[in-house]
Amino acid sequence: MTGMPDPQAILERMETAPPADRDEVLDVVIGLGATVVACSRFAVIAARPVVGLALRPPFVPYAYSPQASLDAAARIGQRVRAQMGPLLDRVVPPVAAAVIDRVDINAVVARTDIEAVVTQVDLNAIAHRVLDELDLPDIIRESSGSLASESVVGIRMQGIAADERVNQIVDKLLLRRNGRKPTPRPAPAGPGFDHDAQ
Amino acid sequence: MTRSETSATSPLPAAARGYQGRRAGVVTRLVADVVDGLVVLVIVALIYAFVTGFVFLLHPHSFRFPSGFGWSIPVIGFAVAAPYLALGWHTTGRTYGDVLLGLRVVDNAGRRLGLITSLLRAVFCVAFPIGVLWVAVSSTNRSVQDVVLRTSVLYDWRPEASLIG
Repeated sequence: MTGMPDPQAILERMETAPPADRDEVLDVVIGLGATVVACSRFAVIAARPVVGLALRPPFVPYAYSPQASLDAAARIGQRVRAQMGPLLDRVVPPVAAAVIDRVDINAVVARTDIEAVVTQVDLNAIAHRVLDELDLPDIIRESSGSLASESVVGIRMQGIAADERVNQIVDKLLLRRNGRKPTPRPAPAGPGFDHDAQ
Repeated sequence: MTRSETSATSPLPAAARGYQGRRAGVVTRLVADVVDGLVVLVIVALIYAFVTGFVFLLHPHSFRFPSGFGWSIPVIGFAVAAPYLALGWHTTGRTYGDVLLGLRVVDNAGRRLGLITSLLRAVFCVAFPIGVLWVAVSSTNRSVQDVVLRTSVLYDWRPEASLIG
């Protein structure tokens, strides 16, 4: 038959068609789909009394009605489903394991462009959000038992302030223009040390 | 590690970070010395109590509080203070007063003091305690002992510092 359209050709035409044409095709497809759904709903509503009448005809005992046959079939299906559960529990895991054994996960992962996925994720922003939520300095301060309590921190800070004040007074008395000399390197290094802030 | 990361993860209060690793001033060091002096005083008092208790056990009926310690108190104080200071500086770089005030004693290379240097510094500090006042005058915040033995007392609030070397 020459009148049957070739789906592959239609797809190729859609891919090569200009955007406006593609939108038009899409609109037609969606419109047809919506029409089918509306017709189906109408058919169901219209057919419901007829189907009900067919399943439970008047003046026919329930045992001889089609509804009884359907109910019997449902009960059988329910029993089978109950029996299938344990059977599936026994059968599916080994089958799945056999399938997984035959699939080269590494090859699948190797084909995945993980770098492209990672580059799309803003790890820096996530890390900062996590750090902000955690309040890491406070956690470290609380977890390191040997670090000073708030009152000791206060005493230390007051000591540093008094040191600075005494230094300023003495430097002024000794006519030192540039104040104290910075502490030369090397000095103990580690978190919290800021040698440039002399 | 960048500077911002260091600041974000540092357990130190922000106001104190800029001072870490700098030589401490005279006030902080004097307060630390006073605390160490109190520790030594307590140890000497405990020794006195021990001796008193021992005398009481020997002669419970004719017991009197021992007197005539005047000459021995400075000697006992010296004998307690020098090892106390030397052990603190050699093992952790800090005495109890230093721990309380957030100070650490290091040598010229930023390392913990050796045993000999610690002992010399301890004897020097106990024998000539006013040497610490030179910190106020020194342009590099060093006491007489620091100048002679090439040591430094730094602000270091970290609980366990990984010293260079």
